[in-house]
Amino acid sequence: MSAIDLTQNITLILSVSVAGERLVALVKTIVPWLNKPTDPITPTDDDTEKYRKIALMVIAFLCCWLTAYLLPVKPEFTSTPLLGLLASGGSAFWTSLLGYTKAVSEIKVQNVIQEKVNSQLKLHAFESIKFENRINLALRRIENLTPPKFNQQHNIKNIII
Amino acid sequence: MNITKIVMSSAGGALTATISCPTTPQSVVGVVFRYNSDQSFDKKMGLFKTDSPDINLGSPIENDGKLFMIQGTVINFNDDPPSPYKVVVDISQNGNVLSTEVPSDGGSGKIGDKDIAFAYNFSLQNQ
Repeated sequence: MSAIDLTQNITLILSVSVAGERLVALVKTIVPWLNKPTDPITPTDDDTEKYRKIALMVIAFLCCWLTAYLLPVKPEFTSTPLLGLLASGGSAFWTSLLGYTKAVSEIKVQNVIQEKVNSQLKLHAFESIKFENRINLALRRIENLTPPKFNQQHNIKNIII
Repeated sequence: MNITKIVMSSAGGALTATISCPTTPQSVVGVVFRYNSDQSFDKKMGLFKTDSPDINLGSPIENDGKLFMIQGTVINFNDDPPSPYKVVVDISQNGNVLSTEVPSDGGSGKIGDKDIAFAYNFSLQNQ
C-alpha cells in the first residue's frame, strides 16, 4: 500500500468515525442512562458502569458499521464490518494510527534523503573518473608532443583537450 | 617569451623543478624540455602532474648554460563562473628554492570549461 493509499484510507476511516460518533451522540441523547456515568467518588458494588461502557462500545460499533454500510463507494482495502470496527476504535486507535503514519512519512523522507545521497555519490564518482580520464588523456598527448623550438609560443593545439 | 635566468651553485647539489597550483585547487599536467645553449633540442626531462609535481633536472654541471621550456595545461573543473587559478614554478637546488615564478604566458587567470595552456622558459647558469 502506497503512502497516498494509506492517507486516503485513513481519511475514510476518520470520516466514518466522526459520522459514527454523531450517531452515538444521538443514541445517548435518546437513552439518558447511557449519558450518565456513575459518580467516581461514590463507591458502588453493582456493575452498572461496566454494562454502560460495554453498551456504548457496542452502540459505537453498530453506528460506525451502519455509517460504513451507507457509504456510496465501498472501500477496497477492507470489508464494511471491519471498517466499522476500525472507525469505532476511538482515540486509542487514532493515537496508534497517527504514530504509524508518522513513522511511514519519516521512512519516506529517509528514503528520499538516502536516494539523494546515493545520487550525489554516484555523480561524484562519475565526475572523478571523468576528471582522471581527462588528466590521463592530457598526459598522453603531452607525452607524444614533439619538442618545439625553444622560446616558441606553446603549441596549444597539441596540449589542450 | 621571456627567459628567466637562474643562477645556481656548481657545488649545490641536484636541481628540481616543481610545477603546482599551491593556492588554487586546479590540476596541472605538463612536460619539461631541455635545450642546448644554441637552442637546439637536447632532452625531455619528464612529465609532471598534480600528484607528482617534481621533475629532477640533474646536476649543476650538466645543466650549466642549458635552456629549459616548461609546457603544461591547467585542467578545467567546468567552473561556472570561471574560477581563478595560479600556476607556480619553483626551481630548487638541494631543497633550497632558487626561483619562484608564475609563468607570464598563461600562468594565471580564470578558468571555466576549457583547459588553459601555459609555458615557462628559463636558463640555468653556474655562479
